Amino acid sequence: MNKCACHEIDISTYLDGELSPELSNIIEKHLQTCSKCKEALHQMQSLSKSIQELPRPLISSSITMKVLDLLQKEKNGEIFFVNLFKLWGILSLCAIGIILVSFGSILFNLVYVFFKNLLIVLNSIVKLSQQIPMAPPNLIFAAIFITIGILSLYGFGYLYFTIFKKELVS
Amino acid sequence: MIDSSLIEQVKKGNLSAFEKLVEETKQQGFNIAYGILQDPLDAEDVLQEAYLQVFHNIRKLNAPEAFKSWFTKIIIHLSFQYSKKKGRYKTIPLNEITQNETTFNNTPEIFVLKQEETEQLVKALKLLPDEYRIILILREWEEYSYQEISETLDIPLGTVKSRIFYARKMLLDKLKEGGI
Repeated sequence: MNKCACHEIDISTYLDGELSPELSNIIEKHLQTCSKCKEALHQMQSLSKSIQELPRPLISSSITMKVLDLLQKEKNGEIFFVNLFKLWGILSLCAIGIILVSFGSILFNLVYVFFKNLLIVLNSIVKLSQQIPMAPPNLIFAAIFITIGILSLYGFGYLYFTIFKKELVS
Repeated sequence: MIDSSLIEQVKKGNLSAFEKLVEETKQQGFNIAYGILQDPLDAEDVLQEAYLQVFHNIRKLNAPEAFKSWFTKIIIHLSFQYSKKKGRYKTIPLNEITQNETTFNNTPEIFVLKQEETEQLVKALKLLPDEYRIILILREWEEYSYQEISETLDIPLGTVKSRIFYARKMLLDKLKEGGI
């Protein structure tokens, strides 16, 4: 930083033409009298010019074709997967039909047993919970368990959407 | 400035409009990616990926006039991701790249001197921290206004001012020190 009232940062901003007209006038007047700031401006000006004149490679003219080719390939790939899923859908329906016709009664019994036992387990949990006294520590534990339950549900949902939704910059 | 109607056509999935958009923006996008990655081949890879993302996500862009900063954001994001993945900054000799300036108008002595200065500046630029180098490239190569830089990089205007200043100061100090 200079010892004068002018800050070098303002000179840099002045060089880019990003100062307000009032501030620009102040800097211009100051530059007429302050050789140090004038030198700083000169240095920044020549640096800026040198950066602008730095050699830069030219992009290959084939980039447009490459991008369009990639899009086409993506599209073909998508079509392949869409067809595969359509086919898979029909196949899975056939498979479910065959299984239902052949083993329908066994499956029904299995599902019946599963839900019956699930109801018994749930019933026991409710009965057990009724036996626990409504003391503050128990209520706090219950609240913690409910919160953890909700958060894990949210977590699984979030994970599911992150995996299945392609994350892109927007 | 990209024509709003062109953006609208690309939004509808018009491939020839997209081709025109690529043609109009490719060198600008390439300069930014090259500024970060310092390698023309890597920059081209990033640009290809950026255009794919543009095509797939342009429907999300509500204001067509925001395309420039949106596109730049994608390139910067992908370039940093790419360089992180590769974990290195590859360099290429200056004589391998196409030069825009007509250096051969100068005498051999001045030409050599200029070449040395250029090499020093390129090395000094590479040594700048990423956030300072990208801001200087947007300003000096692509002539972004402070407001545009602020919107593109999501940083306050005051930060843009100070980063540009400190980037210049760091470069000047490095060049004065020499021996880079």
